[in-house]
Amino acid sequence: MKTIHPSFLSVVSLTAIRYLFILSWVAFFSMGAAAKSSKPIIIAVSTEPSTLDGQAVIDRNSRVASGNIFESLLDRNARGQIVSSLAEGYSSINENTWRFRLRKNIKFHNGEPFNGEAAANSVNRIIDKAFKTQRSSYLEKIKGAKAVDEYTVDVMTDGVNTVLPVQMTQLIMVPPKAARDRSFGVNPVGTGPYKFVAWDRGREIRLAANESYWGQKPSVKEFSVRIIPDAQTQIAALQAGEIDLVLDLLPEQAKLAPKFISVPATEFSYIGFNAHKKEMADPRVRIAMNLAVDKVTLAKSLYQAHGRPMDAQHLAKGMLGYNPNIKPFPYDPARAKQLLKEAGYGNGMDLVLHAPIGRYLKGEETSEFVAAQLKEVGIRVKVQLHEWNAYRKLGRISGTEANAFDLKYGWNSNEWFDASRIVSHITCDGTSSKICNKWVDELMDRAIKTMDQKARDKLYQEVWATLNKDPHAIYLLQQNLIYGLAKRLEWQPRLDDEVRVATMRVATE
Amino acid sequence: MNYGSLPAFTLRRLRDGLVVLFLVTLIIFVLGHVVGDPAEVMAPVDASEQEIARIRQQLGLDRPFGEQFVSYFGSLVQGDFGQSLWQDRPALTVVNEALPATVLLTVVGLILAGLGGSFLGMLAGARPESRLDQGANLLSIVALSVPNFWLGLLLIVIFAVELRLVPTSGFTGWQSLILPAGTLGMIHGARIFQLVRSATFEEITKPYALVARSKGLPERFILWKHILRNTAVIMATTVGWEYVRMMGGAAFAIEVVFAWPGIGQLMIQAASRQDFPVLQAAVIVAGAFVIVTNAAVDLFYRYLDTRIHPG
Amino acid sequence: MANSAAATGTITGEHSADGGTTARWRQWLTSWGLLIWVGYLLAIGLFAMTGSDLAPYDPTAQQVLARLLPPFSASSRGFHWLGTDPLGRDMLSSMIAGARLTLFIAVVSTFAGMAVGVALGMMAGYYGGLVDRLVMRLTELQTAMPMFLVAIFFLTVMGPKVINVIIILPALVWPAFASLVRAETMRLRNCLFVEAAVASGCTERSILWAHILPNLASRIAVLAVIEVGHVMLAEAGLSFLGIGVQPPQTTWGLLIAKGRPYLAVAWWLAIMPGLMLGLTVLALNLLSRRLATASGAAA
Repeated sequence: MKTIHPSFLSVVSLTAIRYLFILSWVAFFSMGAAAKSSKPIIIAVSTEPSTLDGQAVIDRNSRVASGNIFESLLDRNARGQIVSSLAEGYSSINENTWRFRLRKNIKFHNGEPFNGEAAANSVNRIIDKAFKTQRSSYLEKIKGAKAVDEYTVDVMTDGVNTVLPVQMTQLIMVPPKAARDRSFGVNPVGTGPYKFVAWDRGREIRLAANESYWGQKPSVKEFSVRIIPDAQTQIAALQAGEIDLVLDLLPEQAKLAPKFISVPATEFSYIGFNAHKKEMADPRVRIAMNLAVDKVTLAKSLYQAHGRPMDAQHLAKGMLGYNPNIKPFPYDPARAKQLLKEAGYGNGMDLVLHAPIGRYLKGEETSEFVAAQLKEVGIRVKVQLHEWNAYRKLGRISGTEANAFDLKYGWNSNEWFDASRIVSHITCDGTSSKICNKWVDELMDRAIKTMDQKARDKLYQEVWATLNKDPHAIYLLQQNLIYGLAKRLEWQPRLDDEVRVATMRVATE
Repeated sequence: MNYGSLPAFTLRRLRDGLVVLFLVTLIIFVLGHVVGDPAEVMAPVDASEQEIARIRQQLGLDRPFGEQFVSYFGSLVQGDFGQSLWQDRPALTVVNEALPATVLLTVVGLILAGLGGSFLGMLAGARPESRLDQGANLLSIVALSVPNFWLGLLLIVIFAVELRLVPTSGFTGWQSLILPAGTLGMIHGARIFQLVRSATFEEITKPYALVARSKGLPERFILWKHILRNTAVIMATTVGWEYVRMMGGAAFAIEVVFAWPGIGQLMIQAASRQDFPVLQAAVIVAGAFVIVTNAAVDLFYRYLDTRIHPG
Repeated sequence: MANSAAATGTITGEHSADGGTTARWRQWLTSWGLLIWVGYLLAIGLFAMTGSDLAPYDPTAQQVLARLLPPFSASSRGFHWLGTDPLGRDMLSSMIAGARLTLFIAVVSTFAGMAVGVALGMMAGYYGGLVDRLVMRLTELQTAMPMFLVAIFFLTVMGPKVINVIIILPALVWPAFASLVRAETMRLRNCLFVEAAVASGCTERSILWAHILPNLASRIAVLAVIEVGHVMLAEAGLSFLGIGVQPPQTTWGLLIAKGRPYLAVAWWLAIMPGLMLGLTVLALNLLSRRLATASGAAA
């Protein structure tokens, strides 16, 4: 019969393992403690950017990184007003040309000088059809640019384009030589307050402060953009102190964050009509649908007050073209039913509402909510969900085609703070438009040609007054963006959705 | 299936494995290229019919089926699975980056399942109809009846949300491994438990065990030495089968629930983005794992069989 | 190869003249525990057939001011046993409504797989030779293939529709039926042609027809009951991952997925549908085990 005598070797190895185990625990925790104070700021995003070339992409996840590396000729301040950035000033010298005076002695992160040639090159690069930027809808009517001298550049427009300054707040400046390189997307170089350090694929993108930045040096010296696809994981990491900032929290999750800030965004949710369809040709029908939806309850319950009914226009106070006399359509189902009867739809109608999956916060739920409310007044709505690309394709089918959509849920963003941004949705041949109102077309056309901003403002106000009687959508909410912050992060988000790390500070304990 | 002698068996089994792998790639190819339309998927949203046709020509999709498959298979063998549509990198690279996380999760889960299931299985089998046996057996049936992703969610609610003992999801250090590996361990351990239990019971009723008991030798001695040896085969092969099950899809739902950055989560993300090259690569790589493990377990079983029953 | 019908529950067997059939069926019927499970399954089946008629509330009736109520809460509409969802819809009613499609897909897919498997198994067992080898090969290849992965790819390419789910799920179950039926058919064939082959376990023809065929039918039934459970879990997995059933249709798997974003604030949204699913599959498993022992495991 054998009894097991623990051999000397096994005792030693067991003890060694035990101590190694304890040691690693200690190391783990001490590392954690030491690193906490000097840890870089970490911002979570849910999708990895496909490229860091700031000119190529427009989605928010990419801009969290590229928005801190690159800059444009003009910028906006925290209140949304246009201010100078890489350009000191500008003026329009004739109908088709704007002249920008550039700031002197600025270098790109790789040493290339920022000058007229770089600026002109940046403009020409992004508008080139072969470049295939996702920002093309922001670049309409820009024809080209040429350097006049070392610190002056002219931008040419296709006819009168009064919103060129607005467009230039988002036209990113890139270094001519580096941008020609195929690897520019994984090795971005800009003029901004942060330099690109490394891209750990699938994990994070690391950036460090630009010590030779021309403007105010940022307080946070290092930050990373970490890819965490799952919302739960993001919150968990925030709660555990592993990351510092989470974007786009669900309203119910806001209270789970150590700190949260909810800001009204430049995002307007709506249900777009296809006014070319027989049922919705009559404006009374569309007004009825606006009256049938209880937007106040929508904001208070689904969005837990992180959002408010928009004033029946895709603008908020402070934006150019905002009409202060227009208020949200009230919730009046009785009147809605009456209008429907007057229009000849006393027995209601059957429509399909299309919405994208997983794209807009609570989009699916809002669609179902609206469908239920419309049913109350006799409009039987079926909700159909689509994958994002399929949804976009559907939206582009011309309104007069048989397979065009009836109703479509979406969000419209207006980071231009300017009514002209929505032109493609409300003009007769706008690419996303499903409505044709001749007077609106006339007004929009006049407005884009008017250089006098006050006159333009009046014209847009009238556009919205007109649309109030001939609505192009069910106007839902101006949505909030909810940010979750770690205790140590001090930051006030901007009114547009740009995440500028240069304005962040770490609270010292 | 009687394949004859061991070397002959090995060869034939390996051949079978390759055949299955080939079939899988064929099916994937047929589904992806013939049934689906890669040109339309890759084209930008507002592309015209002519642009789509041009892309089709560029990709060589207008060539005859046989020719396409040959060139496709040829590139696969060389390791070229195409470019990811979403990340603009080789699809195989994307998959390889996700692989270690999956391997870590499944191996740890398998160890937990194997150890827990075997240990409990032997205890239960040695004391049939006891409270331990009945309780553990019922628990195993329950574990195999519930959806594994649901069990994961339940554990998250209890241990991460309410008790705050571990992180809810993601791969953020060793604590985040506990719940996902534990979930896999419970469910796959349940099946291992059942098979080891019945094997142990069979051993207990065999003459040598009864004789040994009647001789009055301490029970534990018999249990651990003889029964262990005889049930080791069952344990090993069952563990192998459970790994096959894990890599065949069970582990991937767990990955999604716990946001574990492995192949499973990659597959679902690629599917939602219609990134076919990456999806194909992930399915083929995971499939290869399954097929190889399957063949390995078969060979191992056969090898042990010839050892125990020579000739 | 791993067999889906794993080790049976009871280790100790029973032996008597008629196989103990009468005694076992009687015992089986009067066992209280089993009655509960059978009752539960009947209830689920009833829900599946009547849809939302038996639900306490209309599953699509929204009540946004009563959203995200935990189980055992009351709202202006009444009592909510299992709470409400983000739009205020009653969870219990949603789950009852989800039973229909869940069961439909599971039962139809299992039957389709059963039909294919039984047909192939019979052909293999009866004709033998080349046909048998072909079917065996096919079964082996199918079992060795990572079917779930292929299913994911299939559904991504063909589109996540119910019809596609029903097409691909039978592929997961037919091999088990084929193996079973093949073995039994072979034995049946042996008995018919080799009348004196007592070694195969047969006696007179009359007993043959009385034992083998009913045995085959009951074994297929036992396997079918288990496989319905497996298919239900597979469909739930696919729907949960987002590539199976799509909204606005509901199955239990989809309900779990919908509840997942709210896990930290409203756990019942994801946990309750999974509980119902788990209980259903558990009931099926327990039922099939009892059926197996009641009809006689060995023959």
